[in-house]
Amino acid sequence: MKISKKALGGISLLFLWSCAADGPRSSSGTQIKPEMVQSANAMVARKQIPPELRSEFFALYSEGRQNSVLHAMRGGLAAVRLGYRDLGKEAWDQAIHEVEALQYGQAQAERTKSKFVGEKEKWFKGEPYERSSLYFYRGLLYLQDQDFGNAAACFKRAEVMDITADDAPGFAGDWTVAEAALALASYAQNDPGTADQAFGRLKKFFQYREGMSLPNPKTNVVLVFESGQGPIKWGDGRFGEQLRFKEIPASIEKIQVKKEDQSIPSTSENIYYQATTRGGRQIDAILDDKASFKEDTQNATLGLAGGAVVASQTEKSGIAAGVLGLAAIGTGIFSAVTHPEADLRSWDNLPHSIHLIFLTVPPEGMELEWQGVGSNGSIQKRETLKIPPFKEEKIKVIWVKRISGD
Amino acid sequence: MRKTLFLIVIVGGLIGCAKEEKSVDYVDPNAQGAVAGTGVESQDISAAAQKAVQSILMTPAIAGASQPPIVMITPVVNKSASPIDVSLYTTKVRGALMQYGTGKVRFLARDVSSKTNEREQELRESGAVHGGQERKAASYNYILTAELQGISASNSKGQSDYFLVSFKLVDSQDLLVWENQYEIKKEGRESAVYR
Repeated sequence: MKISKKALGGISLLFLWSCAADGPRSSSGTQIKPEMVQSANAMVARKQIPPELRSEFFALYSEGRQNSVLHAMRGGLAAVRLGYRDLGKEAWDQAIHEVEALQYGQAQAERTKSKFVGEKEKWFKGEPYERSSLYFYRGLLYLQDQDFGNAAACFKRAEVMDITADDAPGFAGDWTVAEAALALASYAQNDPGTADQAFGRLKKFFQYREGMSLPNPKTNVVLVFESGQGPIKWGDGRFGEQLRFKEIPASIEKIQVKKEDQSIPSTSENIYYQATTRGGRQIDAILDDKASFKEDTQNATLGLAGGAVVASQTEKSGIAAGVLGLAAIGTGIFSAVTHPEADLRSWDNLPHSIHLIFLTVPPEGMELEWQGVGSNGSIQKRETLKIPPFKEEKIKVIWVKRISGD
Repeated sequence: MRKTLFLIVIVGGLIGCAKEEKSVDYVDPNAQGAVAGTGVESQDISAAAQKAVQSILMTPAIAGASQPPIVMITPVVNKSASPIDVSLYTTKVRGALMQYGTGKVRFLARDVSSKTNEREQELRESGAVHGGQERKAASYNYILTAELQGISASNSKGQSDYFLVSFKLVDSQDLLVWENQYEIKKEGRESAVYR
């Protein structure tokens, strides 16, 4: 059987085309297989995902393990904000399960170290502030379900996840809202000792302020507020290899409630602060190495190309020019396929800050005014909140709507 | 030569585009998963419960009882830093105790049956149904509690979790008859790409 060069080329092109067919791409830039698209669409329909959540949950079901934590984090929060708590719980439990799976020595993690593989191709687990947020939010849902043991476990875990590098030990496990919520869950679990320990740690944190709203054994209501937009990841350095965070200042920095002519300020967590106090990442060294390689091969390409031009002008045979030219192409290819860029995938619907107000409310309920306070102390927003009578819950969690205008 | 080249292209294409993966695998539920964390797992609780029941059966109050005492198992209390499925873990504890303690102790399952039995008794009393035995619910001689405590730590290399599973057997007069603890410690390293 004779096969012409053209036919061979055609077959090769056919394979290349079949491998690189156009279609939806994941948050990592990888192609989503048609069968995954089909099964994700079926899953969205079967689970009756509300229209406003469909795109995130479609991504969760179609992008596989590479991005499932990312979409579960985002989708869970979006679902909870819209009142679909069961959907949020399901998404976050999946994310927790996958975040907890340690990846040391796993093929996908090792692959990420390669110069030719971008960090965004690793299985997403989020930065420590995202993992802590995941546990904190999940803890609030356990609190709502009156499961105080698991709520306390989540708040403790939020602190465990706030891992920092060896160069920033003072910032590890310093989430004020996690300690305050742990104290509340511990009181509800008849465990005042753990609550006392939580207060002991909390009072040493940078974000602790004297007089802020904290729980006591009689607390039966917690108000949860979210304000502003969370940290935005961006890549600095020669090739975007250094992960950085941009803060979009929130117009509301804290919440206060008026109670008997007193203004009680919230316990607040600035998530941008948490994102930027973790110290250096170990992967930074790997990315820096990739960036140096990319830069070196880029420089070599320029040098070799320049040499080829000079050689072509001075040498008649053109052999040296050809060799230098080929070498320049080789280094150019190496440079082009080197990926030092930092992973910029992020839990992008996190707020700038989370605020908690702890109250003791009589059985008949109460009405109160809350105020959103700006950085200069001015009142940016004020609203009346009616807490209806409640009997069955030991702790009532009221998720106040996300504060707009930030 | 051309044929060889053709075959290489075909095979290469097949390898590149069609990595065959098995979608489902059956695995031993008591085995540790291929990729694990340091959190407590149901098999840890189950193993602790097995050890607990063997110890409980040797306590004089149980071993010397004239007839198998009735024990009520309360839900597992979680005071660790790992969220758990309390219902699943309680079921695992009960399962282990049933497996190893049958004939020597009896277990009260009020949470499982009381509502149905009470409803049936109401129907019986109203004459809507007949037959069966008049309900006289059993009470317990002992309560068995299980509590999970733990300390978690993490650093720039990985994380560790220490768990203490405490079982207590308390009689109906609030006297502590038996207590034992089981320790579990797990350490894990995280890949540098996540640190």
